[in-house]
Amino acid sequence: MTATATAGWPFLIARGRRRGYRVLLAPGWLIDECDYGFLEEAVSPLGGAAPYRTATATSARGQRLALVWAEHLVTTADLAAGSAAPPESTTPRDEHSRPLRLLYGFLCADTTVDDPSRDDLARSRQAALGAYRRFLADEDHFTVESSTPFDLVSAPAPQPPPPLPAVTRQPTRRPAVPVLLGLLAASLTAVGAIWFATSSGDTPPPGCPPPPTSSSSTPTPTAATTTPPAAATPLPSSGC
Amino acid sequence: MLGEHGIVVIAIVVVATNFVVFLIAAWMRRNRRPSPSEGADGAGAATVPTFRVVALGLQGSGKTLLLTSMYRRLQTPGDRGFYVRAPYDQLIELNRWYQQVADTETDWPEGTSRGEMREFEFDVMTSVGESAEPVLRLGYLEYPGELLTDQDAPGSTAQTRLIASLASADALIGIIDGLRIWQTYHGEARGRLILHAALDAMIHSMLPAACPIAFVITKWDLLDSLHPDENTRLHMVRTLLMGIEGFRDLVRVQGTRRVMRLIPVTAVGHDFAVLDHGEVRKRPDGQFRPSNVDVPLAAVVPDILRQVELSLDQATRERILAEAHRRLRPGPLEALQSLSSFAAHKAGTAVVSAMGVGGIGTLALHLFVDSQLAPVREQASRLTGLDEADRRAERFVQARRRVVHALQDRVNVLEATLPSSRLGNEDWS
Repeated sequence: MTATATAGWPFLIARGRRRGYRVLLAPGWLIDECDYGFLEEAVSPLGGAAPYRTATATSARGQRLALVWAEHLVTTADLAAGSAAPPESTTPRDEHSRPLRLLYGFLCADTTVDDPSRDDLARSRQAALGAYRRFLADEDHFTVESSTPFDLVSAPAPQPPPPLPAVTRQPTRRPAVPVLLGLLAASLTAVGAIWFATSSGDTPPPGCPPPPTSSSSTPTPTAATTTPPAAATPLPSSGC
Repeated sequence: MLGEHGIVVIAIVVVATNFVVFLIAAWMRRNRRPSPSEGADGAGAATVPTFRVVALGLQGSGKTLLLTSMYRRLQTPGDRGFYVRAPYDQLIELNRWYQQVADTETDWPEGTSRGEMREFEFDVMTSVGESAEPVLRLGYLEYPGELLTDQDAPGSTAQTRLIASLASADALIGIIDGLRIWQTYHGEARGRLILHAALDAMIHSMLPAACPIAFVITKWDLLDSLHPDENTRLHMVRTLLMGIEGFRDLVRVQGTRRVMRLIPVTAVGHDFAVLDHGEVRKRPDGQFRPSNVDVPLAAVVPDILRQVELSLDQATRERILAEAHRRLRPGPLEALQSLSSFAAHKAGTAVVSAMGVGGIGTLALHLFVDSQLAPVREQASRLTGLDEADRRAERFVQARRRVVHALQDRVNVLEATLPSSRLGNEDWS
């Protein structure tokens, strides 16, 4: 059986006079599914910081549940209620002289409670104290009890969507392409320079024309005629 | 001049040469030595060893109070030259516990629940050059003692996590409840039953352990009435414990390979609480003065050093130290990075079998080498001629050595005042 959206299921984690902290009260469907152990680890003392605490926890079987819990130090009146025996004269303690503390509250499925009602916590505490008195009566043989659900007065709040899975990027090594390109450019430059240096010595430069000879009686006829240099032409005046 | 074939040959030679240069550059990048700025921080951060301590104690035995008082004692340097520092969220909780314990008008803390199981981490701080830096890190697991005796609820993982922590612990501290010893002395059956259950849990975890082990007697103040002389009191308790077969066998088996100590501590002091009709009450005028709460952790590191030394034969020890001296000539930074592989090769099997697998073997070797090299005052001259990274690494090594010596001094004081604190038959003269 699963919880309705507006039902609260009391639970209790406490230690006895001799036995240590354990789940003493839990929803029957969690007990039947052997899935109530997460309560021991999800519910921790408040440390005096707040009157209650809310949290969302996931059981070992993957059930996502909203938890609301508070602390209560056990008093003599708590233990005397419903008992014919006279109340203890001193504060109830364990065998190590420490006060007895209850971590009690209620849980619900498919919703969260941000601002729990005092009535809901009071009902949970009543259920928890009943289980706790039975636990103290026989600590060694007590087994976790199944809690009875009740209609919540607290206004349920919608659960936030589950967080998106984080996208992790594999770190990439810085590429060595720039280094490789640089070396390639240097190689081509070196090859080009060597080629240029070696190719310029293959063809000899054109020879210089023979210098003009001195005047003689017989001009030597040549096939090529030479053109006497033109007379220098004076530059026009700039007029400036 | 060169023909076409010559040009091609030259081109091939040039390209091949540059390719070789590229390969060499890529290999050097992969094995690049850290720059001085990186090495300065890398040497400190990479070689801060973390010692994880698990205290084995049943519910109500005093694990949380021991943690609280131990931190209060060590959070300032005093005359030790070092102090511990916790993360701020843990500091808040430790202070809250301390206030609740030390206030005579409030009740004792309610006890650790399964939801409060976690590890407290303390940096051991000391001066390294001009600033205070962590040279060691200590982890102390806080958990409810019923995890050692009671079955986990279906779907709970607390017990599995505790067992994993025990298996990987670098040191185990067995917590023996002084109240149970008092009850056993006075013939109370319940006390004797719980004492034996506690010792059984220790035996199960400690018998196969390779790490250092110490025993702590908590609530030592409740045993003041046994005898006026403290060492005599401790001897009486030691005799009672060694009269229990399982405990005696544990000490005999483990005592041949490691130092084992029986450390009496009181987390509140001798004038703070009183045992009244089976109930431990705070005195209205109680004086909160813890005693010996710093010794259990102070014993961890030196005991690791001793265990390393015991595990090495004389020839191997001399080879490691000779190699350490040789490697320290170029600089401690390179030595720190390369010594571990040499030492692991020379003594790996012995150290691993003595210390257990994992990084603690290598780190313990570092501490062992630190403790065996030249005294601190001779190292001052070594700082000259080193570059900045190596100077920093040298200062770090010296600072850690000072802390280890201070821890050992604390243990030496305990052994001098309480000779009965030493268990086992190994002579450490």
